[in-house]
Amino acid sequence: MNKNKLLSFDVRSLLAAGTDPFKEIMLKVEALNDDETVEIINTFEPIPLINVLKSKGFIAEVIRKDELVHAYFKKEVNAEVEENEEAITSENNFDEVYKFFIGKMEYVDVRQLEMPEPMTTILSELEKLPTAHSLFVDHKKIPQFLLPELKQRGFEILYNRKSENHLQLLIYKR
Amino acid sequence: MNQLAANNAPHSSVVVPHFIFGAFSLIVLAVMLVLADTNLLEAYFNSKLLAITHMAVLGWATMIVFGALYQLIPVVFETSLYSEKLAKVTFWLSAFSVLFLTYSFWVGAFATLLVFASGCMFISLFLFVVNVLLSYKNSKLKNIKSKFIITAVLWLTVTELIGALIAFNFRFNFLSSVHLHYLKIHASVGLIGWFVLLIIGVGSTLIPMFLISHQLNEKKLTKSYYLINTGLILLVVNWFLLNLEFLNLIATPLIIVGVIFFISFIFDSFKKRLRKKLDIGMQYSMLSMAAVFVPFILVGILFFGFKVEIDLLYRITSFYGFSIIFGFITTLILGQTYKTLPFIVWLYKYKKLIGKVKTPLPREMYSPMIAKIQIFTYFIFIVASVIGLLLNEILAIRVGAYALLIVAILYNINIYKIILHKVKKVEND
Repeated sequence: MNKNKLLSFDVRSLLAAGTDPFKEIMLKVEALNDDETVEIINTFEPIPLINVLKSKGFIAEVIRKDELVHAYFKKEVNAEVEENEEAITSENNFDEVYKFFIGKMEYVDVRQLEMPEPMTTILSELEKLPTAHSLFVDHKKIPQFLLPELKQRGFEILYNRKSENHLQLLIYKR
Repeated sequence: MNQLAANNAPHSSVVVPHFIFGAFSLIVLAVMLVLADTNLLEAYFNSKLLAITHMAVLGWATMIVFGALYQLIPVVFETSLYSEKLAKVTFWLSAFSVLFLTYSFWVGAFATLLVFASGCMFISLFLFVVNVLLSYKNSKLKNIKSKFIITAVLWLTVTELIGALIAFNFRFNFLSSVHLHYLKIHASVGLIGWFVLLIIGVGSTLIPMFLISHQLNEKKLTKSYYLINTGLILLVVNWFLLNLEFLNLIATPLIIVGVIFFISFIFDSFKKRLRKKLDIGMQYSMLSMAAVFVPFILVGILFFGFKVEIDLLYRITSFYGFSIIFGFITTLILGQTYKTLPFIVWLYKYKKLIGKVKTPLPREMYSPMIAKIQIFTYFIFIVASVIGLLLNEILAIRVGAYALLIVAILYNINIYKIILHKVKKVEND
């Protein structure tokens, strides 16, 4: 990624003060010119943010330096193509619900885990989930044996199929 | 809407009895091998060997396959099983039919009991086929893996039809050719059409899942599907209608190349696996994949009919069946049981607790020591049986039969350990 005009934004102080930096980041990112790049410095990888911005036609790059995570975002020049694809893959209210939970979302990727760890990981994450938050999951397939237990525990689950072997799940309390 | 149907998973009372009956059948099978003794070295169509073969393929392999498939339907079809009640009825009828059929063969009641036994067997397998086909009808996910499974189920119907036809012919004598000719079609369709296709469908789903490998080339599976089915249809049509020698020589390589495409798919998955260390279940499974090459070599010998004595030819034919039923199918089932059954029981017993307290893992529900001794004894069984069959050595056959009995007992101990597992709550750190 070409990072000529870099706007750096360290969000650690905001987070330490208990403020969610999401809004501020979005303001900065939306004001970007085509040749500018924004740099977000944080202690962890901002996965939900990356997902949102990618769907809005940005390209992202993540670099880890000295225990810190530097995430770079830049407008993609041929962004329209991206948006078209988006329209095909999500014909549901996944996106709306997703946007509703932005800033109130935990994230877990279970694609590299062996059975039954995807299920145990998701359920223990849900036990720790703060009220009114949701859990965003990257999964390989529809977790058929997890679903009955999720319903039992009063969770709602939405999915977004990215490809045959990649499914995004959004789980939240009814 | 992207709401998900929540209750696709079958109740464990539908699935688990199949594993219990399958494990029980393995013991019966081993006892039959011990009792059959010198019969094992005779021509492959003697009544004891027919009884043993049907116990192996129906009581042991098919029963466990039924159970595993009921559990897997939500995963491969993304829909629920059409009817759990029907599955339970099917289970009891199949269990009865297998014992009845095996007994009829064992005592050589070809003209009397066999007709009724094969009739019962036909009905029970047909009920299974109906249940799977109706489940598939509700399925939105139609990919190559589910295609394999559905085609396997259709071939099972063909196998059964021919089997019942042979049985009825013993009583009513209406077929023109000798029944051995039909027996060959019955066995080939059963082993290749039903077992091999089913194993490819299920194996290509489960094995990459357990090895955790991504981005596999599914085109290999598509090629495998068309090659095997074209080959098998050619064979069946030829055997029934044409009887042209050269058609066999075209059809057989098609099937072999088709299976090699599947093995190559599994090999890719093995190479790309994220989980480097293979546990006991996966060791068995990988061994089974390698064992598939043995029948390829044997079928070559049988086809080109190198000038061997008729006795040896019979024993090679028995060895051919042995290599598929035990080398390939049984090895895979022994391995996959350790992967699937603990998970099924664990899920049933612990689902309320997962995430709330620390639960034991499925693999901690059986004894790894027993599993290890079992795999070692199983090796002895295979090696001794192969030596016995090829060298006409009854002592080796006996060693093999007793080894299988030990394998069956050890396997049963672990199965019961899993099924009777008592819920343990491990203290949270």
